Amino acid sequence: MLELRPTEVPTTRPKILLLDHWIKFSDKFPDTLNHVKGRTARIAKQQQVPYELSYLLKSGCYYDLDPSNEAGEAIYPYAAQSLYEVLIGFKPGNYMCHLYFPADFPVYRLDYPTMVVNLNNAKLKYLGAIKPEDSPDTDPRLKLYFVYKLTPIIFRLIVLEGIDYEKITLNLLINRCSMDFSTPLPPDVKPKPILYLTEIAEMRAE
Amino acid sequence: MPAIKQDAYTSGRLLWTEAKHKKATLTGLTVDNQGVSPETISLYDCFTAISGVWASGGAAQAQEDLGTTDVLSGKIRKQLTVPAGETAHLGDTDLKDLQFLGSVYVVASVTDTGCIITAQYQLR
Repeated sequence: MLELRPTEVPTTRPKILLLDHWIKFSDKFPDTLNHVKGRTARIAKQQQVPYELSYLLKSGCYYDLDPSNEAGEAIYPYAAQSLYEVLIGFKPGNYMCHLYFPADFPVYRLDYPTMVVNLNNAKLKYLGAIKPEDSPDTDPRLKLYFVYKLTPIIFRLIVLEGIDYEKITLNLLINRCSMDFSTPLPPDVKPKPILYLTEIAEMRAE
Repeated sequence: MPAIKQDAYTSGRLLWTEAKHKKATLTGLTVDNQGVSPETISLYDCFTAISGVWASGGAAQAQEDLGTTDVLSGKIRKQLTVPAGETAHLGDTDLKDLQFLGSVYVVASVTDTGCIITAQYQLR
């Protein structure tokens, strides 16, 4: 006799925000971003826009990729109700990426004051470095949220030494969302928290 | 898989142009030298490296033109010599670690329409 057992249905969380998802921006957003600071929103519309960026660099050199609108690649939102959820994947290569926010303040650091990336130091230049295999273009795991008027996030793209020249290619999937702030949050819904990047960088052990 | 055939030419023949967001790998290279003299075949990788900053020290690094205005200032990625009347073939295993970043030209030591170069490549 066959034993009937309930079938296990694996559930996976969607990788990107979809229609009618809810988000809540942290209270730690600065006052200059009052249009989102501490607010809860429903995703009213969304559209996924793929985009590729490539930089061919000499070994041992870096290039600062600025995604902001005025001086950079113009991939920041241009309206207060827009949110760009950006998945960043790196094509394979001999390079790494450091994230700075704001400029010159590394996002990925440790608690001890000297434990921040230092490109002049043979050990510390690898601290907090994102390698292509950490977020491959086929399965991007680095995700950032861009809102209107956000301070530029700097991607410092560094070609490793001893490999001549390298082509750095970033595969971006920009999930372009339109936010609705007018609908009240239903009581049974837990919105996805959107943290301000410095909240992570300034994290301290209690 | 794309393939292209060119004859031996001292100023260089284009094999493929740079794909902006891709690197290229050769999967096969045949040099059929039915000419009258030995041929040395060089594959030039031609591209422009953007300006950057040296990670150690912070000095500026200017933009570099490697072969985009003069093929012979490109980077030689592969070179082989084939005697007259012979054919050389390199397959996937010989070429698998060879990567090209930009446009690729084949430059011969002697111009000779009797020497034919065939290349198979992939962009990824």
